[in-house]
This record gives sequence, C-alpha cells and structure tokens, in this order.
Amino acid sequence: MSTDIVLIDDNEIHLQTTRRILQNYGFSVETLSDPVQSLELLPVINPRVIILDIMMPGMDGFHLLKSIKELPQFTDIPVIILSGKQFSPDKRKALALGAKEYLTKPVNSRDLISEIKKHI
Amino acid sequence: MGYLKFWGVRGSIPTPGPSTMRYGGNTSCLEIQCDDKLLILDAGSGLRNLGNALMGKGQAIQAHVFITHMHWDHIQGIPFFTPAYIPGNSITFLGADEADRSLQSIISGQMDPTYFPIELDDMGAELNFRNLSEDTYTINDIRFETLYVNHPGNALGYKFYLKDTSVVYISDNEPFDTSAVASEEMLGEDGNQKLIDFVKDCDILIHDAQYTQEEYEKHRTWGHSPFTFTVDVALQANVGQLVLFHHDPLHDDNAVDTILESARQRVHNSDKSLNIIAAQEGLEIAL
Ligand SMILES: [Zn+2]
Ligand SMILES: [Zn+2]
Repeated sequence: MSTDIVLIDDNEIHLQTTRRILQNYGFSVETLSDPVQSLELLPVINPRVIILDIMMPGMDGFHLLKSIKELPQFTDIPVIILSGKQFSPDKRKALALGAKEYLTKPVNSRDLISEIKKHI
Repeated sequence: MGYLKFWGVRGSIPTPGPSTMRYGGNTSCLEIQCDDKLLILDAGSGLRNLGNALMGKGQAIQAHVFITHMHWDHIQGIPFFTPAYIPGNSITFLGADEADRSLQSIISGQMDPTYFPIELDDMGAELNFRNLSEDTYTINDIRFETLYVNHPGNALGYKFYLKDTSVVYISDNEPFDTSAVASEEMLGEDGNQKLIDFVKDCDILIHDAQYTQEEYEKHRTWGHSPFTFTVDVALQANVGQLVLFHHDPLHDDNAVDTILESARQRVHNSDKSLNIIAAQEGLEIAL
C-alpha cells in the first residue's frame, strides 16, 4: 500500500496531532522525526506529498529540502513547508529551493488539508 | 578562570554619538577568554576594537569566532579585524551554512571588490570555516550546544560550557506565536518551550531585548524580542544572570535605562529573583 503523506518534524507531539487529523481526512500518513535518517527512509516510503519543518536538529529543513530535491525520484515531489518561522526571506528561500508552499505554524488544519488536496 | 567582555551590544547598525555614549554604539561582538582559549561571539563592528586590543598584547592569536547568523550587524567587523591579516595567526569561523550558500562564501561575499578593497583570500592569517547545525559539539576542547532560533535564515543560539560557568548567547530571536497551541483546529507546537529547555539553569543568559512591549507590537516578524519575553524566559528557565542585549538603534542611553528598570520591576512583581543588567560596551564579567 502506498503512502500519501510523510510528515517530517522533530516535535513528536506535533507529529502525532497532525497525523491523527490527516488520517481523519482519509490520508495515509507516515511520520519521521530525524531529518538525516529521513533521507534514507523517504525512497522506501515513497510518499506523494512531503510536509517539512525547518528548525530541526542535525539538518535544517532548507538543507533537507535541497537534498530531497536532488534525489532523482523526488525531483518533482510536492513539498509543503510547515514552519514556526514567519519571515518572508525564509519563505522566499524555501520556494526558490523547490517547495510548493510555505505555511506558518500554527496553521488552521483546513488550510493545510486544502493545500494537500492540490497535490493528491 | 577568565572573563567575558562586551565589545559591541547594538542591534542592526552602529550608532555612534553622544546619546549612546554609555551603552555604546558598536554592533554585536563579545570576547570570552577562558583557560588560554579565545572565543569571539559574533563579528559586528565591535570586533574592530577587540582586534586592536588583541594586537596590543603582541602574541600570536588563535581565535574561534562563533557567528549567530549572517546579517550585516554580525559580520561587518571581519574586514577590519587586524589579527586576520597577520601571518601566523589562526582564525576559525563557526556558523550555520545556508542551503544555497556556505559560511565561507557568505563571509567572503561582503569582501567582494565592489564592497571592499581587500578580499578574504588576501588576509594573511590561517582562516578556517566550520559549518554548524543544531547539535552538541566539542571543538578544540570547547564544549557547546546550538539551537536554531526564530530569526530569518539559519540563525543559531549558543550554549557554552566553560570551566565553571555556562553561558547562553542568543543575540537575535523573536518569540514564537503561541496564540494557538495544538488542537483539532490549529496545528503547531509551543516553540518557546524548546528555547526555555535550552536556556534552563544556565549561569549567564545574554538575549535579545530590543523592544518594549509597545514597540514589539509594531515590529512583529522583524525577528526580535520585547524585553518582557526575555525576562519571562529567564525566570522560567531559572537562569543566574540575565544580560539584555541587541539594543535598538533608536534607543538612546536613557531608553536603555528605562528598559532595564522595567525589566527589574517585572522580576520584582514575580515571586522569583533574577539579577539583570543591560549589555554595555567595555563591560567585563568574571568567569
Ligand atoms: Zn542582529
Ligand atoms: Zn539579524
């Protein structure tokens, strides 16, 4: 069975809450809390959409986004940034690195769902 | 045994002049001397005077320069840091790469011939660059942790474990929006808790306190803190001493005095105790 969405974020509580809500909407969801490890696991999980935090230990979300986009099978995968950082330079940078959208926490779950539905 | 000395305490841009004489007008730069090691925290315009003082000692210099982030007020002193021009000296710059640009490229960028007549490659000292992320490190026997803070770009906060003292340095940081904690409706987390955990029980906290509460309301998403937030973090994290830092370029000495007084009053109104000072150029704290 394929996975619709992978959530990557170092905050476990946020991961669990978001996963539960996305599952309620019928999506299949995997969560990853270690950005470095996620680079190895993503090709195995092979999701349709990635939702990515920015401020994570070991590897920040910008570097991870760049590394994901460099994997041949993920060149075109939709990545939605979900970050606590509400600064326009960060948003511009994420979009330049290939993110589809940059949403700021706290995000209304309806807004996140409608963004996901553009890609699934 | 050692000391921590402030060479630049101002945010954003140098502010020389009679109205900032007491606290000082140079941008971020701190010196830590501890166990024969020289740590420099940020390389704002205060770095120039620090460099001249180091030259006066007449010894070879081995320095580790920890950069919080690459905004101008944190790197603009580098072209004027005389020890970096002297063969035999060794300077290691540490900070977070941006995904699209390395630490070295960012630092050398401000010395592009368009902006400055001498290029980074022409500096005579041995220059090293070390990329950091959010992690725990021991580099040349310097033990420290880093934290991504809420400021544009990959901005870092540092926690140094010196011999007998822990020092946290967070020059530029804005509170996270915690108006809605995780619920069915709003997804997110309390990002400020991670900051409090990082700062927890440190001996000295040097933290952004650029604005009053009223000023902050007009400057949300500029990446800086109202002093009220800074005091509350210090109280919740049980720190030993709080140093208010990154003074607003619009604040004259009296305005900084007023913020310091109000910060102390806020502690007085709580049921806790906390020693607070405002960072001042030339101020030395014994370690
Ligand atoms: Zn600054
Ligand atoms: Zn800045």
